[in-house]
Amino acid sequence: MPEPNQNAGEGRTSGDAFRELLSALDPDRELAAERYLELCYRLRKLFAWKGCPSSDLDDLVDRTLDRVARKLGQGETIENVSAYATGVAKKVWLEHVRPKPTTLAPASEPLADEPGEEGKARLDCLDECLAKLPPQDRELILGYYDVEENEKNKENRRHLAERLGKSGGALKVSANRLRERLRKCVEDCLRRKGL
Amino acid sequence: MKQFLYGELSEEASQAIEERLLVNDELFYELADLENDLVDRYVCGKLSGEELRRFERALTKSEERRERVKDARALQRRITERKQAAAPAPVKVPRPSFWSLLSEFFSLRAPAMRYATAALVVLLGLGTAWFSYDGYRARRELARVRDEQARRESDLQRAIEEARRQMSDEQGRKLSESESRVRQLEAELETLRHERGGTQPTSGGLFVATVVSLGRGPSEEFHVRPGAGLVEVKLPLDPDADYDEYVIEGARASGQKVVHERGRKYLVAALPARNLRFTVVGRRTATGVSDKIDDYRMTIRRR
Repeated sequence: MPEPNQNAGEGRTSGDAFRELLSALDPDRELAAERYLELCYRLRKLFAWKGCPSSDLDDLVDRTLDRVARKLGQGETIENVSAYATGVAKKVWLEHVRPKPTTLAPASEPLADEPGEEGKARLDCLDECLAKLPPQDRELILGYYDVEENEKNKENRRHLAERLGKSGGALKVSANRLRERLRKCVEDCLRRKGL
Repeated sequence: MKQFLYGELSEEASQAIEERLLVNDELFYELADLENDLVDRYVCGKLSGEELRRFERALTKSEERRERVKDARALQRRITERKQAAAPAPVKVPRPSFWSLLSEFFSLRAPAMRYATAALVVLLGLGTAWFSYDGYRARRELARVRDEQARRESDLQRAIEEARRQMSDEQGRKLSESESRVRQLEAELETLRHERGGTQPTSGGLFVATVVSLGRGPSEEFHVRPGAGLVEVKLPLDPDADYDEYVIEGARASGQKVVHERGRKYLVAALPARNLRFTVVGRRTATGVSDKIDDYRMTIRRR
């Protein structure tokens, strides 16, 4: 979770601004935290789909949410935080792109496997992160993203939803969030390993 | 949505989607799910042709997606390995002998034998049911034919009896007609003889006519009128009968009349005094119906 900037500048302290942001997301503290994480996830995807480098994504999300929080801290009333954040994200992206125009990443060999050590490290991190998941979440993610099974049995995801007691839509949301959580876990794990 | 993910949309079209991403849950997760599916299918080698080219072209523009490909590769590998680990290991079975193979083939453990046995049972059942039904049908047909035959025999019998009765009636009628004709002829012969001057039964003595009712049996005697050659007979009639007239047939009768005496009814007529057979007939003039009342035989004898 990105931490609010302690040197926010004008207005109330960024701590207060951050609390204002959470309140604006939902009066209930726990729900507000969930919605905040969801907003981070969506902003990150948005920047990724706009072609921003992976290394910049978290920073771009932080900058976006900082600005939204600062606005709230200045006493502004924001009806729909998500819609407002979209506009802010666009500006942040433009600021990011202008001084650093997007250059095409060098053509890589996407089909090539990762070099031995890095590939093995990723697998080990994945195992570690999968083990941290509750059994039901583990079953969900391994079942939902089973490409062979999905091709063989078009009803695979529907049966999985029934088995886990979820609707199709809820299963999709859960699977995507779990995958994002897994990605962050593996990323953190690799960073700890110095990769 | 694929165009958006591959970065193939115009700036305006992309912005239109981006503006909805943070506020439209369905759109956002549809895109995220689609992207994950494309990445997974790519690492499993399921993309081909134009789809593969578009994906790889988009990969060159997105470092983040290349990272996702690495993650997806690891995840798909682990999914496959876990499935293989969960599948039961093949068990080595010793090679069976010929006799055990034969025995296994014919045992009911083999699905083929079970199906064959089940099919055989079903066929036998169907066959039995069919034969039972066929037998029942045959028996029913036989009973019907027999009934038909009996009915025809009965009809034939009735026809024969009817024919016999008709023949008998016809014969009877003809016989009766013949008898009647004979009597008539006898009467005419007698008359002829009488007219030729033959011996009158009444000449030279007293004669009496005995009239016997052939139906009822009783007889009565009547005196022959001397010299006249006639005998007046008085024949009893049923007082309750309502015939309009009574006629004597078979003999030349004259002076017929119906008389009532002391509550009884008689037919009085004069007949030729000779041996005769005649019939008394009652007639209803309204309907023209004639009924035979009685047959009589008259014999003449000297007293």
